[in-house]
Order: sequence, then structure tokens, then C-alpha cells
Amino acid sequence: MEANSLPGSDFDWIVDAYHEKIYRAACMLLMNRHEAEDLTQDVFLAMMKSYHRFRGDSSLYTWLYKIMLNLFRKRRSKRRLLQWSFNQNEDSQDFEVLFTDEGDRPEEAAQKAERARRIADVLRNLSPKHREAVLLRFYEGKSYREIADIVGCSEGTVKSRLHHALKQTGGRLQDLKPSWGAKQPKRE
Amino acid sequence: MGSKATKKGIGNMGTNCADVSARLLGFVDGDLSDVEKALVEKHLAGCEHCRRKLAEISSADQFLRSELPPVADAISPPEFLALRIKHKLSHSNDRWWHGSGSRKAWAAAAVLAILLAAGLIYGRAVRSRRRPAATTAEVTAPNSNPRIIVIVSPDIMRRIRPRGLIPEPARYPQGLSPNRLEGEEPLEDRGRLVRPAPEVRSPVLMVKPVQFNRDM
Repeated sequence: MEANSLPGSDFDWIVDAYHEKIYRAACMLLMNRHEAEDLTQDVFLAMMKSYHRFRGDSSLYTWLYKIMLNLFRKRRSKRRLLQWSFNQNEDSQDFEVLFTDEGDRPEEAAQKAERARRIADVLRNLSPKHREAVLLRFYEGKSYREIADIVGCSEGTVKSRLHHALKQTGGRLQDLKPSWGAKQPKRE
Repeated sequence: MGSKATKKGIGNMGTNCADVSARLLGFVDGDLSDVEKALVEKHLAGCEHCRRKLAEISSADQFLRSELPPVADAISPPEFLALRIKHKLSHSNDRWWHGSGSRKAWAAAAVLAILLAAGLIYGRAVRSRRRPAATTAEVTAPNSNPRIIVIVSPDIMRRIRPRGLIPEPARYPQGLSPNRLEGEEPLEDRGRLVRPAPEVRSPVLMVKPVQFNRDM
């Protein structure tokens, strides 16, 4: 069945069901809420155009996530072509704004903001490929095999990326907060 | 325990730092066989460098596991994002260029056919209007060999007529004369001097020597 033979309203339920998850994933990937909005919108437009290619091998969310990653990579390569620097400092405030809720008590708001700042700092210091792997592993809870399928590489590559990402994060945590610093391994 | 060890095997695992480092992630995940785990632990006991690496990896693992999901879950999309996406989808669905591959191919073929037809019609119209660009006159030089054929523009045909360079009208093919060129209506004042065109930039287009038999 071709997606374009359907009225746009037939996709509404997909938008309702998945736009929040895709938006969150896009935010964590891009660390910028405005770009995340655009990316989320583009994901659903791309989904509508290629819905007839969805074979149901994976869940609909996984398929949407793959579309998002492809669009994210296209954006990055366009930026590289245009020689735009991926200025992470400019985006920093934009991302933290997501966690400021006027209803929160001051201590709670401060705690949330601090947690978000630490995560944002860690993710920003990872390369996009490492960030993809970390988000799929620690937020989406995917296995190495699933990550390899989504990202389009081998399981070994996924493990290698995660290894490097964790090593880098571990080093970063020592600077961020002493309590998250290196711990001695348990001895048997 | 034994089955896990035999299933995964230990491969060529040695006990140097590189081998252990490659298995630290599996060690943290609890994904190693019992044999591999024992070898890693044995190495770690005596290697400060690998212990530090393991500490970094496990603290990062612990941090991301506990801190990342609540932060990501706290993100909520803008109020009208879903509405905007739905609007875009319905709007985009109306556009023909978002059609399937075959529909796009048909549309492209139709556009191409229209352009081709327009080009043919225009070309034919232009060709029917165009006057003959040049005609041929023989320069009278009875004893010269080779004789010379000069290909001249219609304007120069008119110019050389009064100077007597072109002999008799009978020599012009198909009833053409200097006053009547191919594609032109006959002039009322045939035989009279026709004034040359005011501007002739480059009247002689080509001079073509023709070798022929003198006895002919």
C-alpha cells in the first residue's frame, strides 16, 4: 500500500504515538531544541514518503529512529560542506532551558538543572557517532546487535565506540564532580 | 558455568593489557565467559593501568545508566509540535511532487514531451520565415581556369547586377534573377536598378574555386 495514496490524517496516530519519543531522542542527539523540532518534523515527513517501504522487520519506533539518524547525518554532512562549525557552546543554554520548569521548587529545579548540565557536558564532548551509540545503549536500552542494526555497522564497531565513549566519559566525570570520579574496582 | 565458558571460548586471549582492555566493556556488562572473567581479574590484580581504565569505564557506565534516562525523560516537546507536524503532513500529501516514483516519472515525461513539442513548433515556424541566406553567382571570366563560383548574400546579388558582373538572366537556375531570389515574391519593377541594401557587413560568405574542363 502506498503511503501517498492515504490522506495525511491516516498518519496522525503515528505522530501522536511517537512524536514525543522522537523529539526527546532528537534533543539528546542534537543538544538543541530548535533543531530537534525541525528534525522531528522532517522524520515524520520522510516517514510518510517512504511508509510503503516499511516491512515491519523492526518496530515502528526503531524504523523512525533509523530515519532520524539518517537525517541527522545528512544535516551534519551539509554543515561540513558549508563549513559551519558545530558550536556547542552556543547550544548549551538552549538545551538546559528544556529542564527549567516554573512549577519546580528552587532546590528541585537546581538539582534538575545540575543533572542536565552534567549529562549535556558529557554528551557534547562525545563525537556524534559515540553519542549515537551511548544514547541507544543507555537511553533506548538496545542490545549491541540492535544498535549495530540501527546504526548500520558491526557489533564489534559498536562495542569499540562504546568503549571509547565510556573511557572518555569516565575521564570527563572526574572533572565534573568528584563523587562521579574513578572508583576502585572490587577485588575478589 | 562450564557451558558458558565452552560456548564463548577464550579465543586467543592473552593476559596483556591490550587483550584485557578489549574485554573491559564486556567485564563491566557481565558479558564475559567465566574463563575470560577470571583472566581479566587476574590481570587487573597486578596492573594499575588497567584498573584505572576499568574504573573510568565502570563509573561512566554507572553514571549514564542512572543519570541519562531521567534527564531525557524530563524533556517534553513544545505544545503545538504534533499539530504542526500533522498540518505539514496533510499539506505535503496534497502536492503532486510528493507522489510515488512512477507518478513522478510520468510527470517528468509529460513535461519533457511538452517542451519537445514546443521546440519543434518553434523551429518549424522560424525555418518557414527565414529567407535564403545566400545564393550562387558565377563570375564571368570566360578564359579563366579554374573558374570561380562566388557564394554571396542576396544583398550582394542586387549590388553586382548593375555592374555587369552577372551576365544574362538565363544563367540563373530555376528562373531566379538578381531581382528575384528564392522565396521572394516577383518585383514589379523587374529590370530596373534595385538599390543596394544600406549595410552589408560581410557579403561574401565563401569563395569556392571550381576546376572544370576548358572544352566544356
